[in-house]
Amino acid sequence: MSDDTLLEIENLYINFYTKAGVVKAIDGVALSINKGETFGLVGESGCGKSVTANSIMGLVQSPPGKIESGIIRFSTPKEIIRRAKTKGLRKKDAYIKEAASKDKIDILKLNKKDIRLIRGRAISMIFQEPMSALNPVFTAGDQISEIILLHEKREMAEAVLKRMEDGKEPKKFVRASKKKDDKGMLRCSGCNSAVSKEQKTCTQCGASFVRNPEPRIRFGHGFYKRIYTKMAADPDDRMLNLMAKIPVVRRYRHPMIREANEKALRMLRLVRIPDPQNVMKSFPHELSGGMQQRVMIAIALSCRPQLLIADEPTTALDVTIQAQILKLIQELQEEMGTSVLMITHNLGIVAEVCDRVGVMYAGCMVERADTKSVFKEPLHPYTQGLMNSIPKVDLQLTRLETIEGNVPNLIKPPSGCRFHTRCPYAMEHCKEVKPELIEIKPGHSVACHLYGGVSNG
Amino acid sequence: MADEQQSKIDSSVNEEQAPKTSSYQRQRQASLFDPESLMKELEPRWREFKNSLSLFRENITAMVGLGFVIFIIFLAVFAPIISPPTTADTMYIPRDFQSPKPPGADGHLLGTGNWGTDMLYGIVWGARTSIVISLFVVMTGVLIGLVVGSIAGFYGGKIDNLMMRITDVFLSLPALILAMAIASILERNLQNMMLALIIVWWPPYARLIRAQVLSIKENTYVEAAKAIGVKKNRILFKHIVPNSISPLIVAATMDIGTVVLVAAGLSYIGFGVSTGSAEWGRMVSDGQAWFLSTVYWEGQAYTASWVVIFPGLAILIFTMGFSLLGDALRDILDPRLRR
Repeated sequence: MSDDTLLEIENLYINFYTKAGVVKAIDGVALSINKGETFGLVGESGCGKSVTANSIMGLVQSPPGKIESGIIRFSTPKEIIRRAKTKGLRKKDAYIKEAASKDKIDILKLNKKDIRLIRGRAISMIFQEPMSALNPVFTAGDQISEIILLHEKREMAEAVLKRMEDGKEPKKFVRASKKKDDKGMLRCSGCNSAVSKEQKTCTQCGASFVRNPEPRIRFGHGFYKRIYTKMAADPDDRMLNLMAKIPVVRRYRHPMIREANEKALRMLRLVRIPDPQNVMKSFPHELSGGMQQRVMIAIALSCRPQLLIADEPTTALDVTIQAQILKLIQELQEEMGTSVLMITHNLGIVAEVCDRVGVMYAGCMVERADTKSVFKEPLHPYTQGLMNSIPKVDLQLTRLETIEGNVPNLIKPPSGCRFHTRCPYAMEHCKEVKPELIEIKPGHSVACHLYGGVSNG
Repeated sequence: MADEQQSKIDSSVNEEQAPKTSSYQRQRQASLFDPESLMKELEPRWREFKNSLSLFRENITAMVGLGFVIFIIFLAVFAPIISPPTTADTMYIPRDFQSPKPPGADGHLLGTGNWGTDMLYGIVWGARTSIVISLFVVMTGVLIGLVVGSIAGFYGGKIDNLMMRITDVFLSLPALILAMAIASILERNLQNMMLALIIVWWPPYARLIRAQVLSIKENTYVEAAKAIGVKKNRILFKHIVPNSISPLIVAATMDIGTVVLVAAGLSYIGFGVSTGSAEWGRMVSDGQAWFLSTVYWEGQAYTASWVVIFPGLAILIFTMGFSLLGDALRDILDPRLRR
């Protein structure tokens, strides 16, 4: 695993134990995502794309799901490792020790508390249907602030402290008014110097002409300062978290909430939402689908994650909005240096936004390469079938080609290569041995016996 | 490196606004002078509330129910003025130890009942008793039901099984019989009757909220909340419960009326407050001996129906008011009809 790799999945096996039988949903998937790149995961519905994504987030429902084996190595930011370390009694945990040396954590080994530090902060997710992924009882602003307050308490506390020090706390507050002298000139009532109509404070004596010049904390300034200094030093402080649960005392968080709202507003601007102030206060049902998806993106990106998982982000949107959203994701990705795992069944999107592609079929990764070579020269018969089923501008066809047959039942998956039942080139060998993903050309791997992809001859 | 990028983004975003004052604050300041921005400033929750309120005003059932309820509340609030108490114990109805007098006789606007108790006093102060009983029982019941039901529904598994079996124990006995059993063990007073009612009242709420939570927790936004790292308890109480609470609100509103009915029933069969107290069920029970018997007042014969009809009417108005209100709330809170 090179330093450039952000996420690496190895030999992932996930089963779902249902009443009808064991669904072997993920059968040895392996992929790696580099820093800053877009990795596309393509395949039919039910081939395990979303399950793979959920396993990265630690969101596979168990029961019925169970991750049988595998490694998901994620290069976790130092701060999260530090927080996981300081948070409790888990210093003895082996993976934290391992992580401290290599700063790469196996997500599957994390316990529930630690994985919460990664979710939303280091890895976040955009869902397919923005309408149902936003909570109907909270405003858009509330929902963005929530994630900010969850993961960026330190930053918010620092911002409040900065605001408290930034001259928002005038030592002496002198109130004055503007008077007209006999020549009709405006003068400060305190020091009699000339002032303009727009001025809010007098340049000479520093008196204020406005009743409440700036937002500031009036009472218990020292007390609040101590709280925020403590919060900035350790966002997991037990005392502060306890205080946040007591009705009146919890109000110390209000300035932080205000900072979070400010940041939410900045995020809404960042995702190019017109009139962000109003959108902040809108409930999800008051927004259009495209706007909702932008809010979702704002939520997902507000803590500057290393990896953004986009689970069919444009499926529920109409075509023009799709293009806008994809462009937005791309632009933000470049600005923030985030990697994106784009899950889709739309090859057009893959061609447009992805750097590398993994093609999945029935829980297996069948081909993995950079986008260009996949489109130029698809090697796996399934990928070829997919490519042939796209309408082309330069070819006049009466009928589109399809792949014969249906997706196999994963309770009893086909033996050997899972695609052999539908493969036009299927051989006897294919029914017996499962092909391994083997690099045929530099950066182009395929799992097919046609290319000698047999484990032992 | 990352910080540089962040500051770059922030500065590019910040260009259009003045860096010093917060935009929120500026907006707030502006709103003091500009009515249009004042409208914008209205909190979104307040806006939603206004929307509900206008739906409420258009709903005739709701307004009729509200009228009844307001009438009862009016009686309860102005009880000391309408019918001033004569003893320190306001539950004790003033009486003259004579046989019932018809309405209007001897300054008794609604007549007198058993032992010559003043009916008006009983009705007016009974309104207070009823409101106290019903609100206390329903609110406590809702609180217990909410906690038990939502935790059972959300966490599932063993916790669910344990909590629901306990609930089943309470549900397996008929509510009234169980309440009677509990009330009969304890001393006969108002507090113990309320306690008995609470014990039988929460299980249906727990069931209701559990069913709601079970369906709401499958929504994508719950998964989305998990995906941003929200703690489980917070997901339950901040994300799921607010979405699943409206049927409970409807049920609770309708039950406020029912509680009074059941409490009156308990009092009627003698498990509630002592005889001669300002409680409607008790008044019906006390008046029963005189009901439809002939009494004489100033040489004229009257059939004593008022001894039962007035308190009965009060129960009817109270119960109907809240049940109409609950019915209307069901329509108003229904998200499908909302927009």
